[in-house]
Amino acid sequence: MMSAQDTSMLDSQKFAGLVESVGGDLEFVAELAATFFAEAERLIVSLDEGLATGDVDLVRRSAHTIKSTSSSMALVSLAEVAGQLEAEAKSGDLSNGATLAKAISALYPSARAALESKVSEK
Amino acid sequence: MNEESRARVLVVDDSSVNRQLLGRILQNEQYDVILAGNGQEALAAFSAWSPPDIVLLDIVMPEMDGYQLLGMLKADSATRHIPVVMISSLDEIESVIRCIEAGAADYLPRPFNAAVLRARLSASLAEKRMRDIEREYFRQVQILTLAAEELEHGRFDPTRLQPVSARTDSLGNLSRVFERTAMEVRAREDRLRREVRELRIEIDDGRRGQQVASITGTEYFRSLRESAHELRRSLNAVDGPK
Repeated sequence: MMSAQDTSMLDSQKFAGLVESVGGDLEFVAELAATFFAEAERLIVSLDEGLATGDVDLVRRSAHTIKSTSSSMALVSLAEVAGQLEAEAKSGDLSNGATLAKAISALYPSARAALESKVSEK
Repeated sequence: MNEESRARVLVVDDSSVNRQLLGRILQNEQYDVILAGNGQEALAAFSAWSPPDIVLLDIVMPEMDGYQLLGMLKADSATRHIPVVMISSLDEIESVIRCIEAGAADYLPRPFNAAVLRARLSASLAEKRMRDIEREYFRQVQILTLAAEELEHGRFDPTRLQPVSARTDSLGNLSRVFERTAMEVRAREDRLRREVRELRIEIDDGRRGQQVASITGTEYFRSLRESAHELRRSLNAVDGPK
């Protein structure tokens, strides 16, 4: 059963669309979620690296991928903040970058919990 | 690719999640899937014995991005005809427009929808099939054109026309008529060459005969011959009968 917090993290309708797109294969969605967790954690590290070294392109690409994959996994809040960071990096102005990266790191545990909860539902 | 075989789809995306998800959706839609995590891996797929029929290409990638890979594929005559569908989010529409202007066939929005994917791929693959048929037709027209040049220069090889003559359409008919005519021309040329050879022999014989006659017909030759006869008679008289 998802909590109120979970529902703001994960869009159930989008998640249902994801499951439908893979023919209802929940086992596959669970595997996909595991791949997402590994990739997202690596990308969050890349974000921090990019911000530390001023590598705008690295920040842009990492934020872009977090955005697109979070969206695919129905994690709407995470996708939105990653989208904002991508837009900042595209403009070349990372003055707000660290704040947005921190927000992504803060959101991630809840997003992960919401997705784990959803894939474990029968 | 023919109507019976499954289409081969190359997915190029640096995200494992996106490759895994799209790969599964495509497999469920009965496509054969090749996955590439970057531009270099994608290019290697084209060097394989069975290149892809269509490419799904992410725009944002490290090292070689989607624009660069698209540009390389469209610049190469071996890959130019393969449709490329850009994978994008709806907020990247300007990037998509840029790619379509650079030769991309279509775009596939995220999050992926199986029905939209099916429609976009079917349309692009149908167009590719038509272009493949056209390209093969023009290639065979070239074979026929080349055969005409070869015939003019006496180098015609009828076996080269086999794939064209095997066609059941008007081009195949033209090829068969050409082949028959070329063989008749060749047979006639062989006959003429034989006749010329024989004529040459006759002429040479005639010339030789004339040369002999021009020598033996002279007074000088006749007097030599008479002198030879006299000499023979004298020798016979000296030696007596044998």
